Amino acid sequence: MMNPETLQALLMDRELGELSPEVAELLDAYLAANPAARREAEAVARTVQTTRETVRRFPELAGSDNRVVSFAALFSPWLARAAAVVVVAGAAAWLGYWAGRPVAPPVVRTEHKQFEGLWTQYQPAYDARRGVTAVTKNP
Amino acid sequence: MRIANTCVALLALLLAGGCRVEERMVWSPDGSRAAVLLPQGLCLMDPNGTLSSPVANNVTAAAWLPNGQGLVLRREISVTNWTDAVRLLPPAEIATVESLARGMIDVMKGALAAAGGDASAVDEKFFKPLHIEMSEYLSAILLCLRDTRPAELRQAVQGVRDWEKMLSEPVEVKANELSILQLAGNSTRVLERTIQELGEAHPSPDGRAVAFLRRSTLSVAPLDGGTNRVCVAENVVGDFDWTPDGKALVYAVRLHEKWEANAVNLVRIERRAVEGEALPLASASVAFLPRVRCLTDGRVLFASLALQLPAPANAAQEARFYLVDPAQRIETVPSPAGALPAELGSFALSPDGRQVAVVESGSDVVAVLDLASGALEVVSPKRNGKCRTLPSWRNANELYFAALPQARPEWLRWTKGNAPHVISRQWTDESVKNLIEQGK
Repeated sequence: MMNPETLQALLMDRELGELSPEVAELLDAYLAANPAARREAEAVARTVQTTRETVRRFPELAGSDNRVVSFAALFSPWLARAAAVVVVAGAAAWLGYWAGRPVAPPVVRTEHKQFEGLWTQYQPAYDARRGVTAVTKNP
Repeated sequence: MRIANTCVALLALLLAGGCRVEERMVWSPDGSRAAVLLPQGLCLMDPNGTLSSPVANNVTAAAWLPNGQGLVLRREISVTNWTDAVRLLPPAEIATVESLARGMIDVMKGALAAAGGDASAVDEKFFKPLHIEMSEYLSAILLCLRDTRPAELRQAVQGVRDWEKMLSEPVEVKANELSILQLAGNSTRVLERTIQELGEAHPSPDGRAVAFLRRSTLSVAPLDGGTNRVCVAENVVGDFDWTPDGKALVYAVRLHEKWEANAVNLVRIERRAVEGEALPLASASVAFLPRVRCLTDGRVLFASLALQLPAPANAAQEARFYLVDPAQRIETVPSPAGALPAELGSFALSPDGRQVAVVESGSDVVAVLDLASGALEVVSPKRNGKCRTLPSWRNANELYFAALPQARPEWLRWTKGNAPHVISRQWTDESVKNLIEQGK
């Protein structure tokens, strides 16, 4: 099971078009198998949609002719205000996403399972007799 | 003699590397034929798996000359009497053996005295306390003593139980040879012959020289028969490569005093022009013999544990591929977590430098990694075997690999988008039995 922060991050990246097709495909497979995650995905999609609508209705908030919210533009002060309006309107999940977003894209976790058990697993352990970090096969 | 036989047996075990992944098939530069190492000798093979009769015997490794007309061979020739050894081995090594043999009689007497006449206790009570390590010369010294000083040898071991039986046991010396086989005319010319271990050998891209490992010394020898040798680097481990222009070599140097098998070792990846200064490129940590390859654009491919220090003492580390350029800029080859084995020393780079076929000695999985995208395709899934054979690229799109499709191991041909096809169906069981170690 994926942790909530990772799922939120991936869902938000997908809504904003930042995921590679391969990762998006893996995410879709995960959502298909997890009803709770699918509900979360729908909530995030609604939140992003609301944000887009808000910016379209009040373009002056964006300070730009670009009517569509881009990932990078969300960091601008004007759009932060627009986002805040949406959050006040009830998109608390989004705030949770920004607060808990890991520094590196957590793509690794979803793809790991794809190769689970493919190769032999080894365990390093200090061997005092040889004075080395020995590597032995996991039973 | 049991003392010595124990030592020789241990040495043989160390050198044999029973669970190593071996390079048994090498395609000619134009892809028209492959050299295949088989129990009956080195054979040539066409792309459909049709074999020639053996073209050379006792071959342990082969590399094509760039013109595809011949091969550099590594051979192992056994001799069981001193007369043959003198005929085969270089005079300098014979002189060394004869000199050591003179002192060995007294060493044996001393060792047996220290062990109270018990040959089985000699290692524990004499060699180990004195920190005397085994030498490749040991079996040659014993052969020399047996055939040239039998009375002295007999006297040295007379007090030992079953000494007569021990003296009657055969002693075998292995002469390691590097030679060129010209296929037209089937002529062979010896480049190097020694008691010492010979490792990998790679002809230069222009076909004028060969780089080879003698123990851990990387040397270059001319292929025109000249006897001059250039020492490129010491303490080299694993496999090395030429740069595409043939002016330099890329290789890994161990940073520890000795290589520790099945343990984490630190190495430095270097590039050195044959007669220039060594250029350190990167440091790496490996738990496998490193393999260093140079891409057509000059970048150097190597694998390393993705080690970050400090780390918990027993933390498991993933291995990754890395590319380093001459300016020491290192980039990680993208690959999903868990996509690559921890033992990342057995891989074959495609001729165009875009893909890597990966195997490991702990399973019989074969996978192909795209170096640019990091996409991994499992070409052959895990079955009930352990890989002992390195895959071989015929060209940028066609890979030959060993697998266990049914009861016995086979060679298979794979191209992207197509199911692998067995090409060794007509071969004898003996010819394929060592490709994969089957589960017990």
